[in-house]
Amino acid sequence: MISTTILAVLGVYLLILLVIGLWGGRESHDVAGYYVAGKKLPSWVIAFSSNSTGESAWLLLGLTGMGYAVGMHALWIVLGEVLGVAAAWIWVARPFKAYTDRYRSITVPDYLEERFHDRAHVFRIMGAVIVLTMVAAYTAAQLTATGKAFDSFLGTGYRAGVFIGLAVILFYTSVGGFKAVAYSDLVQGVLMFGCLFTLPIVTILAVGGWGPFVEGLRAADPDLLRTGGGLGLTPAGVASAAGFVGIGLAFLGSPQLLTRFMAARDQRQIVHAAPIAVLCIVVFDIGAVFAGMAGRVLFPRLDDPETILPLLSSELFPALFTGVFLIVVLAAIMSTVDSLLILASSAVVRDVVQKIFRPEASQRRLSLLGKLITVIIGVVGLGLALGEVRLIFWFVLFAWSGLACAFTPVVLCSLFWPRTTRAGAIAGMAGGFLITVAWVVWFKAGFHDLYEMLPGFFGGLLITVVVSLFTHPPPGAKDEMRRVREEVGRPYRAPGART
Amino acid sequence: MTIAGLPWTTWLLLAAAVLPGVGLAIAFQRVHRADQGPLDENGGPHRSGSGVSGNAPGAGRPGGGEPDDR
Repeated sequence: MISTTILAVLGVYLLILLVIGLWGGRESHDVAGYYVAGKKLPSWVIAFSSNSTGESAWLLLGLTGMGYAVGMHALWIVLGEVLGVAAAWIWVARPFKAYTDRYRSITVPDYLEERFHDRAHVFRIMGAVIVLTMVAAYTAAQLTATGKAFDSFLGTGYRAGVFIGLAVILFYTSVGGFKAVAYSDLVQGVLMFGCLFTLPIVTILAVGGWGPFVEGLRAADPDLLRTGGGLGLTPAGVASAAGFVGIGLAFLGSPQLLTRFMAARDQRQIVHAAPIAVLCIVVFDIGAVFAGMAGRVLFPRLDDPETILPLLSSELFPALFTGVFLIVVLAAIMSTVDSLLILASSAVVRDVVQKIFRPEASQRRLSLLGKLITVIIGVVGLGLALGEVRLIFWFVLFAWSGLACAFTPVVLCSLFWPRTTRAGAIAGMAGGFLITVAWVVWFKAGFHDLYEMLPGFFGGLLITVVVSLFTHPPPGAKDEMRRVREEVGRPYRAPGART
Repeated sequence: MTIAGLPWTTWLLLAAAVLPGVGLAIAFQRVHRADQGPLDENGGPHRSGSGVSGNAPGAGRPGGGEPDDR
C-alpha cells in the first residue's frame, strides 16, 4: 500500500517533467534557444534554477549526512554558501550579463574568447576538455545518489534506480533544452524549499522540542554542539572549517551557474532575483544541517549517515509525504544533472563544432547534435556510476571544485581587473584546474585534508595575476570595462558619480 | 556561556552565516529600486518610473539612457 502511494506521487511528478520537456522543446530548435532559452527567463526562474543547479543530491543526502556526522561544525558550510550566493548575485551577475549581452555570448568560453580576443580558440578547447571531464564525474556522483535514493525509498536495487533516473533526465533535457531545464529547476527548487523548511521542524518536534534536541545531541557527543567540532582550534579543525567555507567560492564563477545570469531576460530580473536566491539558499542549507542533527538524536547508530533523510521521511511522515520526499531527492539530483548535461553539450556543440570546425552548419542540425551529445554524456556518467558506489558528499565536491577553480578566478579577473591578459587567463584556467586535481592526488592527505577548492581557487587567481602582469592586456579592455560599469550602475558606480 | 542550550559561538556563526548575506541582498535590491523606479508586475520598468529602460546604457541616471517610448 505504501509503495503504491509513493509510486503514484512519483508518477505524477515524472509526468510533470515530461510535459515541461515537451513544452520547452518548442524553443529548442536553434542553438541559442537550446542552450540559454533565448535569454528570456524571468527572475523567479533564474533564482530557483541557479540554486537548485548548485545544490544537488549533495544537499539532501550529503549535507544532511554531514549535519548528522559533525553537528554544528557543518554551519561553516552554510556561511560559505550564503556569502557565495549573495556575492555572486550582487557583484558578479550584472556585469557578466552586460558583457555577455554585448558579445552575444551563450557560453562562458564564448565570453572569454571575445573578452580576450582569443582567435586561436584556446578557451573553447580547454574549456571543453575541463567541462567534459568534470561533468562526467559530477554526473556519475549524482546518478550514484539516484541509485541510493530509489533503493532507500522503494527497494528497487541500486542499478535499477540509476537507470530509471537517467532515462527521465535524458528525455526532458534532450527534448526540452535549457528552457525545460530551467523551468523544471523552478518546480524542483520549490519542492526542495518546502521539504527543507518542514523537515527540521517536524524532526525536532518528534525529538520532543528544542530542549530535548539539544540535550540529545549533547548526550550523543558534546562536540556536535561546538562550531569547531571534535577538532577545535587545531590545524586540522581550522583546515576543515576553511574548506567548508571555501565551498561557497564556486558560486562566483562556475559555468553551470553563470549560464543562469546569461539567460536572464534583462538586468532587472537579476536585481529582482538576488534576495530570492539568498533566502532560498539559507533555508536549503540550514534546513539540511538541522534535519541531519535532529536525525542523529532519533537514530543515533546509522552505518551510512547519508541515508538519514530517506529514513526520517519514511519514519516520521505518512506514505504520501514519503513519496514527496522521494521526488524532492530526485528533484535535487535531476535539477543538477540536467544543467550539467546541457553545459557539456554546449561545450562540444557551440564551443567546438559550431565555432571552430563547422561554422556553416544549420541551427537545426547543431541543435540535433546537441541533443545527441547530451545523451552520450549521460551514458558515460551511467557507466561510471555503475562501476562503483561512492560517498556522495566528497565526490560531488571534487567535481564542483574542478569546474569552479578552472573558471572562477579567470571570470572574476576578467570582470573586475582590466589589466587581465589573454595569456594570464589561459594560464590561470589551466593552473586552477590542474592544482585542484594535483591537490587531491598528491597533497591533500598531508595537509589535514584541506579541501581542494582553496588551493585551486587561490592558485588559479595568483597565476592569472602574475602572468597578466608580465603580458599585455587586449586593446580597449579598460574603456570597455568602464562602459560596462556605467551600464550596470551601483554598486560598481557610486550614485551621482560623474560619467 | 550558553544561550538556549547552545554555546554563544554557535549562535554567532549562525548569525554570521545568515544576516550579512540576506542584508546585502535586500540592500542591493533597494538601491536599484531607488535608482530605477518601481518595477511593474512583470518585473519591467514602471511607466511612472525614472523614464529610462532598465537595460539601456545609462539606465538609472536621471536623464540618462534611452526613453521608454522609443
